[in-house]
Amino acid sequence: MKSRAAISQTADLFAATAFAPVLAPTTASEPMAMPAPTALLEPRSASRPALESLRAAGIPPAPQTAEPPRARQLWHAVVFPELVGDAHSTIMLQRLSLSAQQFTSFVSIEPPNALLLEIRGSVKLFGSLQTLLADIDAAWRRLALRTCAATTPSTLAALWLARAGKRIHTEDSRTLSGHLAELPIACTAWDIDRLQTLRAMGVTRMGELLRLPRAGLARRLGPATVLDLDMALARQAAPRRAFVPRERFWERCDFETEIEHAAYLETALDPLIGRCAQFLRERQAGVLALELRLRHRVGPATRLRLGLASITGERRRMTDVLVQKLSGFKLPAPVRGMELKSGSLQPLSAGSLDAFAGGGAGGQDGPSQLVERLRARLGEAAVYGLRSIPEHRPEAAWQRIYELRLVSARRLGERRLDQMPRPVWLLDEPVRLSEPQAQPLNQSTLILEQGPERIESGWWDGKDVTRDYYIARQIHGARRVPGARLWVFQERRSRCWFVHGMFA
Amino acid sequence: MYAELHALSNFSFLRGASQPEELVAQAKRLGYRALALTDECSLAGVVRAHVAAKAQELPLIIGTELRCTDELKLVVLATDRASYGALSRLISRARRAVAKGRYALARADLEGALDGCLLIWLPREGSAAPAQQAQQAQQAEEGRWLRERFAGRLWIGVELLTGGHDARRLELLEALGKALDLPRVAAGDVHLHRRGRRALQDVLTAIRLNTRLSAVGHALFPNGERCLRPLQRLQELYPAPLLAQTIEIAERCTFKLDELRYEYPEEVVPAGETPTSHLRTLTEQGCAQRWPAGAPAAVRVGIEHELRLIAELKFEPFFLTVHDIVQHARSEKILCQGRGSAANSIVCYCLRITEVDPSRMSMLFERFISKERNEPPDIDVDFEHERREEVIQYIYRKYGRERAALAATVICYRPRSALRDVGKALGFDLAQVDRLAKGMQWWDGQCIDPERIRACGFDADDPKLKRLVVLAAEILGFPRHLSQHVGGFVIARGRLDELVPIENAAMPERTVIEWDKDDLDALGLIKVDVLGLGMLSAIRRAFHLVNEFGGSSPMRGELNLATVPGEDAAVYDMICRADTTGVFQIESRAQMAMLPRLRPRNYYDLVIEVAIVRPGPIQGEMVHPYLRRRNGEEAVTYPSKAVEAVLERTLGVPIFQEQVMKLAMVAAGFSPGDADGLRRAMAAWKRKGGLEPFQRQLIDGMQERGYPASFAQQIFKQILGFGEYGFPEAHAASFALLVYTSAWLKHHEPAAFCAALINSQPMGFYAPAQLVRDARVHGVEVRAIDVTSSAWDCTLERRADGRPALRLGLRLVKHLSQEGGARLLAARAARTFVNIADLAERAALDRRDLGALAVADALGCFAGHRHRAAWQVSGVERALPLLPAVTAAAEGIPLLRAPREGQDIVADYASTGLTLRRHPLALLRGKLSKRGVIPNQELWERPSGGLVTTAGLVITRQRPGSAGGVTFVTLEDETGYVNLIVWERVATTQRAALLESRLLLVRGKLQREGDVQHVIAQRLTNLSALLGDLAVVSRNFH
Repeated sequence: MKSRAAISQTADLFAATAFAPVLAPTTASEPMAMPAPTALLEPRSASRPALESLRAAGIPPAPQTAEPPRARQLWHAVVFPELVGDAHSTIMLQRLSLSAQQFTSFVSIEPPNALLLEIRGSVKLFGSLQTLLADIDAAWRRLALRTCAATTPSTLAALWLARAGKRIHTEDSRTLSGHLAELPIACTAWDIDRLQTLRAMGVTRMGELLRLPRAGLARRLGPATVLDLDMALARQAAPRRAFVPRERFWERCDFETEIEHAAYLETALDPLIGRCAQFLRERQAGVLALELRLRHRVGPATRLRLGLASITGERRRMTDVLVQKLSGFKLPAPVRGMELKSGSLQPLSAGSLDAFAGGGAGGQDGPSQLVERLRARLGEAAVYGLRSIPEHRPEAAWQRIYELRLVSARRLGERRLDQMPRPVWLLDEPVRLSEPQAQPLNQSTLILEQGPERIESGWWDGKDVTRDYYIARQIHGARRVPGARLWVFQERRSRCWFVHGMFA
Repeated sequence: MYAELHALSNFSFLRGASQPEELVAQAKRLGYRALALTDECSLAGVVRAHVAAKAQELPLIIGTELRCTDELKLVVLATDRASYGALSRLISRARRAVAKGRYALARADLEGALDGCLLIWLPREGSAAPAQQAQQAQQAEEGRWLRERFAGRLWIGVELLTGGHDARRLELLEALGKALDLPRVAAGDVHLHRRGRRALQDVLTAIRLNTRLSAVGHALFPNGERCLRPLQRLQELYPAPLLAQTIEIAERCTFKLDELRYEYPEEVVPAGETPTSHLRTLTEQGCAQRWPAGAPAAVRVGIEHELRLIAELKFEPFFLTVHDIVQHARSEKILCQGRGSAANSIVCYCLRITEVDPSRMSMLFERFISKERNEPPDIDVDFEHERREEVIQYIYRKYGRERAALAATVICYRPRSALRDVGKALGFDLAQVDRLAKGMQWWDGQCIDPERIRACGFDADDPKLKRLVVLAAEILGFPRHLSQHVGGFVIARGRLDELVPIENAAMPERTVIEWDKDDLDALGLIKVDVLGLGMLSAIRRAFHLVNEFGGSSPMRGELNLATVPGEDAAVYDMICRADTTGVFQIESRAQMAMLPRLRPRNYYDLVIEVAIVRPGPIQGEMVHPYLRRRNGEEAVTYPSKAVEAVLERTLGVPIFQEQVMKLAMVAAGFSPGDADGLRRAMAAWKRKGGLEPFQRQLIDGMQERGYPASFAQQIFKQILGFGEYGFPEAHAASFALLVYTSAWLKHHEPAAFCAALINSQPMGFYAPAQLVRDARVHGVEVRAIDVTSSAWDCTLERRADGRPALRLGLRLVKHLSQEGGARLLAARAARTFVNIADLAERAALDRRDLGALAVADALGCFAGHRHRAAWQVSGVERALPLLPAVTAAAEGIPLLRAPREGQDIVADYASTGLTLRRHPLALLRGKLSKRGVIPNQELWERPSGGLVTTAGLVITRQRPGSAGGVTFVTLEDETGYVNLIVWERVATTQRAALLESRLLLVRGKLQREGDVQHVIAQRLTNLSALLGDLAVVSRNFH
């Protein structure tokens, strides 16, 4: 502990000027930190064009004299130092802002690692500011996240204090300049050029910055800098955009009596699906998956997951799939209520819009509908598409795909003209030829017609193959009746023979 | 029975997966009758193959694989010298046409270009059914086109690679051959010497295509058949007549690389003169200038001897070529100095190729090329590093690009690049690959240690990682691309491109040949090394500063390499004190530690000093015996009379490379040819190995002649040490002259010397901070950078007492543009500046330049302190045309706190890399004392052997290859330097502190021997946090 204190002190020796009490500026220019009554603009009422014009005017308007400093908004900034600004942080921040919505409806994401919550309204709801702050803190603690938070009537002041690690919570905007004075200028997260220019002038703390004449400062660092300072001192409103969570359809309905047969559920489901389709139509969106949860009196809910073969928002298709799934489904217990939850919303492409339009007319089933019906009957995994992959190893040269698109019907594996043909029917696993057949050169059983095609590849994923492939003709009985054409290979290391596929 | 006519080595970069030598050895092992090395449009690997094939007695055919822009693919083989020339010329043409590393060849380029070459046409394989007809027609057209031009020396190559359609392919090509009446021949499209390289070949393909292995798909070869296959298997695959054709072709290719003759350029001899007569004329002229009163008799005898030998070996044009280059440099006032065995001849002294006065050398050693050593003459010329390019362009101008080119340097895979490229191919993400590569430090050498990988936080037992380590180790040393040699020029009499292909270098206006210096050496081709040397720039600048400054010293005004007074005792006193910061060569840690022990007192001592602190003598354990004998602690004895003749001048201890070579001859019975082979193997063994046969021969030979085995072993160890860093006496002698000259300047003209060193940065061992500090210690007044007085370079100003003071130049200001600096100086020359606005306006400086000056505290004269200067310059706006400059006149200057000392020091370091204020550690002394840290100067008062705690800024880290894993670190505090020795064990366990510290605290044992003192580090602590933002950059060396 002792050594750390020593280090931080001495770092100061070289890095920064310690903050000293502010002397009254002697220059004619107006210093930034002169206490002044502030006029606040509502973030929601401050239209963007108005603010743009403020910025465009160059030097921001000097603070207007108006009401006494009773802040109508209260901003709570919370910084998560563990988030470092990568893609993961972006996702985390979105999740955290969802979680923050339990405290206020207005949450703004401040990259790279902070959230801003407007909490004026919530204070009353939670009883007092202390309770609210304690609850918010507790929420992060439950997630085992390190945080630093500050609360002020100004967005930027809260953010800067939180970034600088000062846990200050105040509702009084007159104290802001005092609180900000000691912060290092880096807490503004301004671009490096601006910060370096300031450091070259020996300005390392906000207090020193606030003392500089605003006209001179605007000329040197641009009007945006002065505007930021005005916002921080709550003389100028700072518009923020609230975070809108990713949307899903999620509705429930409760039954007056318990339902014991799946067939009855269909009727109850119909209005839910209708509302879901309506929800999707309003958003010009579709889904690829739906989840139906059946709630019972005791025990966990039964979940039914439904995959759709293509993006859809069409009521008939969704009903079809759900009904197929439910028919023949044995309920584990009587159902008291159910919930329909959509997967994430996907934009509808032109193609799917067509299906959307056509579907309503009740025409013939397209391939998508067919696949869905088959899947609902045979199981999700039973119906899939094939995609060829350029690979020398036959077993790695194709892949199952479950999301079917009409355009995906591409020709399987373009092969070079003078390469050996390959069978379409490939066995899941090559089958070892049993002993009597183990000598295919003994022409009583198999005749090698073409080959060898030597394949030695795939070492990089640990499944190296070294094989000589042949096309072989099966010969039956003493009369040598020609049978199926097989794709066989000899494993080069073990010298064993296998059948790998069959030609049509 | 079979000769492989189509084989690619790894000199077809990222295609071939075997070294040329491996291909040759494997072909021999398998009983092939011959092997053609046919790298794609390149002959870069042929010399290596040639050397290996000669040793293995396997006939080697020189050829190339070519792919025209219209996809026509051929293998071209050289039959004789003329056809080799044609082939080389075609490759040069294809390579010169496009940017480095690629080639472009139109079918039309083949017309009339391949006289005498044999061609194997490789018809394309089919691709898609509907195109089949068109394709066959195209194939027939290609065939007819080729047949019209190359009938009688054209074959269809049949390459059966077990793709499943071999029978059909054979059938098609036979039919094609019959239709066109062309013979067929078997070939293997060889990319690997044995099947086991399959994985590496796949990796190379992925690297070439810049993708992951799993995404390469069909661009990978389906199998490992492109290896050199056993004869029996080839017999199973190919019909016998196709195999027999290979022998027929091989027998027509009789060309050997040995036939290449090097011929010197002719134009260095004026009309009516022969090379011999012209060299004599020039030598006589020079001799008269060097010895105006007539040369001593010994010199005359020497000149005659040398001229006779040169004439006998027909080396005159070589000497004349070097003379011409040096002459040109001198006319342009570019300082230069030759070195190398031939450079130390009296002839070269007369020709002014060197300034090493033979009388100063006491003629102690054999100075010249010798006939029996059978090696090409060796002259390297060092030029001022900043002006070498002018010399290079002169050579291109004079001889033309088809006759002069730089030798290549083969850039090979090293641990970092290997891990990076192989890692990416195996699908590691960029961050992981980066972490792995960064884990390999500059000192970890040429192998990949799984331990280091574990230390980077990877699981070394993970199969994916194991694959990475194995493959990265396999790819180590593989050539990746050709780069240019630092300055090895090959100049030919005729067309150089008929000797070796020439290609474009990455730098514009540069061309390189495809062979590196070992290749040239192996074929006995001669190159002139045009090298850049920072110290020559510094010395020239120092001479200039002194001569301009004038003054009382008799030398001022005419100081140059030749007029520096020789053998000045005061200069040697300074050298003996190891007070040599900034002096050429002897400023390094190891040299400074040696100086007080060796105590050089004359020129030849300096020659030894330069040569002794090198891996050769150190690994041969020759240093201590020499010091003991020199100090009279050990008797000077010789194992035999013959050895005495070789080792007399070094007190019986072999120190120079030449002595070791000579020993091999007189004591181990090496023939001159053997010795030459040893010399070449020595230069290359680190990269290629191959010294083992010589070890046996040397040790056996010496034992047969009655020398003790230990002596023989020691000599061999020394040979290993010479390896990469071979530093012969001939080079040391030339370097010693620069050592003496720079030491003389440091002693007599410290201000000019320091200014010249800073003006020539980057160079040398020390950064400007240490150079300035050293100058101040030696009483030089150093004045700060100031826009009203500083020039771009550091300059000398006259003090009241008439002595020079050093004024730091604007060049030290970080981020100040050179153009901005030039405008500032021009504006100042017109009229003195009155204030910042005036400066900004008249010099038209932008905010960036002004900001740089403010941060450097160069505006202090106008603004007071740097904070006010920064405020003022950031308010300056560029004047609009027609309007007066908008200045900050109307606005007052706000109250800005003056920087405190610590802030000033940080800003000084950040902007100029040095400070004229107190040393940063002076400010921390109180804190350091509390931790028990002793100032470096006080260490001298502590007893040797005791435990001490010391600390300082890390200014250098050095890990010489010869030091067995020891790292040398130099720390600086306000009182001086302390040298640390960090043993490998400490370095490994405390790696982070050692590598990352700017301010390092060390606890360790003090060790003192005479005037040499160091601390053996035991515990390292990183105290960098105490420095805040102070930017201290250590210079790290191998």
